[in-house]
Order: sequence, then C-alpha cells, then structure tokens
Amino acid sequence: MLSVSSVTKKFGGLVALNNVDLKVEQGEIRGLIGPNGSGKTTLFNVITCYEQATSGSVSFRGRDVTGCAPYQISRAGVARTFQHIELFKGMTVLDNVLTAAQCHSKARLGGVTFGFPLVRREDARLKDIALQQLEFVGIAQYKEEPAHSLAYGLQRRLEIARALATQPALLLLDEPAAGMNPTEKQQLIQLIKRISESGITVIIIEHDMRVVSDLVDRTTVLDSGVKICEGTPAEVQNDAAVIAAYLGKDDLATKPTGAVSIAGVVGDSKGPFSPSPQPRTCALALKLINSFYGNVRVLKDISFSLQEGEFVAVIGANGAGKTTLLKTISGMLAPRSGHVTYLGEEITGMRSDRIVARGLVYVPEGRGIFPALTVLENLMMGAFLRKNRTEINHDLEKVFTIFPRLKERIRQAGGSLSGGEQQMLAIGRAVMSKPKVLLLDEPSMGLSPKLVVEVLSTVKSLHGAGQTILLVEQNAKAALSVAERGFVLEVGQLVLEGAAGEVLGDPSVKTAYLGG
Amino acid sequence: MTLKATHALYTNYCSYCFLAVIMVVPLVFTNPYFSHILILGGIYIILALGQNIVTGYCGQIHLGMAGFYAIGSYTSAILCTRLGVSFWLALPLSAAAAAIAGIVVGLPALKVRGGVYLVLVTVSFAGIIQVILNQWVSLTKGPMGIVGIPAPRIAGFEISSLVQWFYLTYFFVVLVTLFSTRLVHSRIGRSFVAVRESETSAQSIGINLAFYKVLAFLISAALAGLAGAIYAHYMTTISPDVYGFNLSVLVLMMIVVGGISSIPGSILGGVTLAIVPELLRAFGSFQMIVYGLGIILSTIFLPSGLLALGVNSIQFFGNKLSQKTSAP
Repeated sequence: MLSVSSVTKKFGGLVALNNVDLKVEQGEIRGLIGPNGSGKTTLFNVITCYEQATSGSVSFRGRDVTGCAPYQISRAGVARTFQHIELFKGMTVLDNVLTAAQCHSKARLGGVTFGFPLVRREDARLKDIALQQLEFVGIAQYKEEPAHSLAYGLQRRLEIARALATQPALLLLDEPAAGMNPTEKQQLIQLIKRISESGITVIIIEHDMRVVSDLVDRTTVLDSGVKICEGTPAEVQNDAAVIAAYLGKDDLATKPTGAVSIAGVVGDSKGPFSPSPQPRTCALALKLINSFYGNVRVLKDISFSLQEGEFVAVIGANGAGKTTLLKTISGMLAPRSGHVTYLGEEITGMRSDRIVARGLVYVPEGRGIFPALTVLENLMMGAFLRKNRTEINHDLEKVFTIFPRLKERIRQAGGSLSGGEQQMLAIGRAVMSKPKVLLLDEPSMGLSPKLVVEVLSTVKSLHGAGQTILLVEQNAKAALSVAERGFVLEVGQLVLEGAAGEVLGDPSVKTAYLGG
Repeated sequence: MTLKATHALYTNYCSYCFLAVIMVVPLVFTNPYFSHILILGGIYIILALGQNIVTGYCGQIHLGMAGFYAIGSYTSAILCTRLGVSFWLALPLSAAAAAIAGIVVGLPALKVRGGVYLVLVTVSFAGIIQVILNQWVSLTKGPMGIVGIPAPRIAGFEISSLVQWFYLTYFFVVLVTLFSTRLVHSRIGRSFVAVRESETSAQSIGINLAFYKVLAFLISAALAGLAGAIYAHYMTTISPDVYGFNLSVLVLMMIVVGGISSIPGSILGGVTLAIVPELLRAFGSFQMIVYGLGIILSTIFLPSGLLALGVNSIQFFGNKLSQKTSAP
C-alpha cells in the first residue's frame, strides 16, 4: 500500500532521515516510535509531501507520489493529523469536518454561489458524511460549538474525524494520545481499532508504549533518522539497539576517563562561578507540585530538593513531564498547587524574569540561541542583566576555558554552528548570567552519540567548578553517568530516586521508557 | 424566542435590515447631499465586501483595492467615451478586467510568504496603477482625467437624478450582498476560512492553497472593478488622484471598523466611513484629528467592530428580559 524507499532528508547539515525504507501493507496498524528528534514527524511530512525528500522516493498504491503537493496526496487518499493540534479554530465542529468532506468535490464559482440543485444535493451528501464521521468518533453532540471551545481530548478526536472525512485509504496519526489521561487513551485505542476495522490502514507515532503494544501489529523504530528495528511490539521492546536508543549508549560509562580529565583541567581554576559552600544548604525545593496544561494534569505531587553544589538528573521518556517540571520551577508555568522554594525564598508564581534575576537560569530544550548574532554577542546577551564589566570579562574567559570550541568561533554567527556547538553556546550563555542554579533541558537532543558525550562532559566540568545543576534528560545512561543523583519521572510522577549509579541499574528505568 | 435564535437572526438578516433602512432614507429626507453621501457609501460597501472576502475570510492582508477600483473605473470610462460601448456591457467588462489584474497580482503574491510581504506587493501594485493613470496620457488623459462619462440608460430612460442613482447603486449593493452571503456559506467560503485558520491543515484535507488564494483575489478584484465602474459613471469625471493609497487604507478600515469576517460588518463599515467624515465637518480644521482618534478608539474598544455593539446589546437586553420574565 505504502512504500518508502531509501528516503533521505537533510536540513542544511542535519540529516533528519537517513536512507529510510518503510513498507506498510493494506489493513495494517503500524507503529512508528523512536526517541525525541529521531525523525518520525519528518517521515510523516515526507510521506504527505509537506517536505520534499532530499533523495529516495515514496509510492502509494503503486503510484509514485514523490514531489506531489500536500493537497494532491490528500486527494489521493492519505490523511493525517498533527502533533500539535491544527484545527480550524474559529469554525464550528461540523464545519471543520464538512470542509474536509468536500475535498473530492469541485468548487465551481457560479454553481456553488447560486446553489444549483445538483450542488445542493451534493452539499447535503457532504453534510451527511461529515455528521457520520462526528458520530463515529463520538462528538456529534458538539457539532455547533466552535472548535476551540472543545476540551483537549475532544479536539484530538475532531482532528481524527476531519482526517476521516476525506475518506482516506491510509491514515497517519502523529502522537494522537499526547496529553490524554488513561481513560481517554483507552477510548482512543478503541477508536483506532474501529478505524482499522473499517478498512483504513493506520500508521501511528506514539510515545506511550502501552498504547503502541495494545494497538499495532508491527512497529518501526527510528533513531537519529535511521531505521534501527522493525517487528512486533514485544520483539522491539527487547531489542538491544532499541533499548540503547532510548536509554542511551554506554559510551560515557565505559570511558569515564574522558569526562574526568576535562573536569580536571577546569578543576585547576576551581571556583570561578560560585564558591563551593560548606556545608551544603538547600538550593531548590519542590513540595507537592501539581501542574496542568488546560485540563491535563502533567505533574502529580512532585516533591524533591536540590542541595547547593549538587548535580541532579531527572530522566524520563518523552511526555513524562520533564520540560513541564523545569518550566514550573523557572516560573514560565504556574503550578495549580504546591510550593517551589529557592534559597529559602518561596518563588511559586513569581514572574520568570524575576526568578532569572535571582540566579535560577533555565536553558530551554532546542537551545534557543540567537542565530543571527555572533557567538560573542550571544554570550554577552547572557550577561544582559549584569553591570560589572570586569566580572563579565572574567566570566567570559571562564566560558572559553570550558568551551574552547566557542573561542575558535567567536565571530561566527550562532546559526552557522553545528548542533553540539549551539548547545554549548546555549549553556555558555546561561553561565554568563552567573547562575546560582542551572536548569538544563535535554542538552543531548538531536546530537550524535559522540557529541552527547562531549556536551555532557562539559556539563560535568561545570559542576566540578562548583555549579549547582538540575539536568533533565531523555538519554538516561548519558545523564546518570555524569550526575550525582538521579530521579526517574514517569507520566508526571517521580517513581524512583537514588544515587546515579543505583538508578541506572534499576530495571524500572527500562519500564518507564518502553513499558512492561 | 431563545437568545441564540435572536442572535442568529440578527447576524443572518441584519445585512438586509441595514440595507432596507438605508434605502428608505431618500424617501424621507429629500436633501440631495444626503443622497450623494449614501451613493458613495453604497460604492464603499461593494469595495468593503470585496476586501472582506480576501482579508476577512481568506485571511490575506491586502492593501491595494484602490488599484482594482481604478482599473474598473478607467476600463468603463474608456470603453464608453472612446468606443461608445453601453454601460451595461462596460460594467461586466470592467469587473472582468479587474479580475484579470487580480489573477496577475494574486499569482506572484502567493510566492511571497504572506503577512507583511503581501502588504508590500499589493501596495506596490496599486502604486504602479496610479503611476500608469498619470503617465499613459494617450490612454488615460493623464492627470486631467476623463470627462463626459455617459449616464446609464434603462430601456431608453436615462439615469440622471440623485434618487435614481441612489436606487441603481443600491440595486448592485443588494446583488453583491446576496452573492457574498451565498459565497461565504458555500464550499468555497469554507475553504477560504480553512486557508485563513490553518494553512497546514487546509492542505492536509485536500485544499489547494494557491487556487483558493488566487480565487479570493480574483473575486475581490472583480467586486472592486464593479464598484469602480459605477463610481465613474456616477461622477461622470474621473482623475487619478482619487485612486491613491489612502483609499486602499480606507477600505481596509471599513471592514475592521464594521466587523471583520462579517458581511453585515462590511456594510456597516462602508456606510459609516462614508458618513462619519461628513458629520465631523462641524469640527472644522480638527475634523481629521477627531476622525483618526475615533478610528483608534474603535479598534481599541470595539476590536470585533461596530457590529459587535449590536450583538452585545442584544445579549445584554436579552439577559435583562429573561431575568424579568423569570422573576415572579
């Protein structure tokens, strides 16, 4: 039915898909899994022609569709949903689906505006199709409501109804269960089963392995743009390459010398960032934090504390709530309940810029550097709130000691750096603001294993220089091999806590990522 | 009647209510100046309805309506004065000429990424048209303009009085209102809204973005051309200075002030922006300052336009009424 042959997709220097093959048979439910940034959505975008493959081809029902426009592939029978819900927000629920149902109808200005009988009959037929789809996904009672007023889970259903209204042969679902509670997930699984029974072939990207195991016949696993495994959910869960892709490889653990030696170099100039306090005091404490996105409870009663000078890693699979945790701490998201205490002061609900001014600095996922500014300008932006010139210059030298690569590229535009260098720049910029506590959000994302080692080694050397760090990582092995203590976050709850080495050895880590 | 039904009735039929109210005016007030302002208001309504389709429904910010309006005026004026073509033939030809220009502008406009780029493309287009009107003297008579544009005849009877002109103009206004109302509730209208709301999803359900964007440009240009032709014959004299950037901005303001993405809103906005400057003449040299302040205040306090004022008051009084009836 669908055949993707040796598709490669490059974005500049980044290889998002590397020679990927995928064959999906009529009637199948296929899972597509892989860590963050592994190229799953890019593959969907190539199949639906939102992105043109750099090389390789896609054929659907025996027809080569490479180079079509997205609307053509949709009319040919491939429908999709989006990772971030993309509804026609201002339209009613019915109109959303009706607009999709008309995809095979001609739009003749005269006939349509003057309502010829033929057009009227056709419109009535389209409305029937639309209503059927709303019934099918179970949201017909909301048909006159504006789409944006629906609850999150219902919006996901509406997006599926809209895709079905184009009467597809193949349906691509991009993380349909994201942000749903367990009951909603169960209902979604039933819905997808019914879609499959109606004869539609389904490919589903999903992070929740329980959903995948319940649904799919076979699963394809991507890692850094490469297909690393294909098989039944059970086979995939026990595949060594898959486990390594999710939990990280052993590189750091097997050669700790590399990390230590870098730390040693910096250790000579110890204490530039904050004097190592003796005895350690509590830098950051969370008490029974509950955070929500709309009605979705993302963090459930999270409590932990971080001592000054400590390096703690919070690990967990995609969607476990890691980023939400950091956003809650840094004031970008107000928790519904609970308390965040920083250096003895309650900062719950404080504005994020005030929190930064107090020395609690967040390095976001995806780096967020200023691509048009040079490396030096980027670093100086980090010192935006500081006034003392000599201190700033002093810290700049320290950053260059830890990240010698940045010094080599001091006049280069931030956007022209490689992924690893951009990550170093983002961390360097945060260090320039003289943080007391550094919050790092997935610095390994989208980096090759070698670069992951390099970046995390520098993080370790920062810690060696006295920096307090809270690291949030999907790559469990890499994170736990550099941190002192570790927490495992699973669907919004802390399920395990301990010294980094112990946590790494605990079997529940694998369960948290790949299910039981 | 429920509140919801009242509300639906208000938004569905208020276009026609507005038009009916306006059309009684010349029967009650015989002041010729009144009629003149309302005729201009009618022409503005057609322009605003055109702008509303491309900007309000399809979501493309377009600041070049004056260019299409000029093409309509000059096509009809040249055909009628040089070739002796009748008004009734020149009218559709003017709309067609503007529509073709709409395609010519719409196609490259798609290549640019929308937003501010599209604004620049459409502004430049209207600027070019105005330069052509001034410079191509052999065709357009340059800054002097074209004079002696004949009045239309209906069955040998010449439209000459202001009242006759008034009803002729509003005949077209009603036609265009009917057309727009049907259009926005059709498949095409839904596709326009889909393009506005999310280009990403629109493509995923089989909507050809390029086709619908050009179609929206084409329809709005044709309506501007129609309005331009009516204007030329009404004024009997046209010159390039009318078709400047100010007019394009004025048309965009009409749909914002009246209520964007709404047909009654465009009607209200068109008439209001024709009448208000006249009412403000009392302020003398402060007229434009008061006018500008009014526009600023209305965008701040009535972001959904004047129309929302009506909707809100229906809700307000509706609630009061239901409270009264439910009270013992």
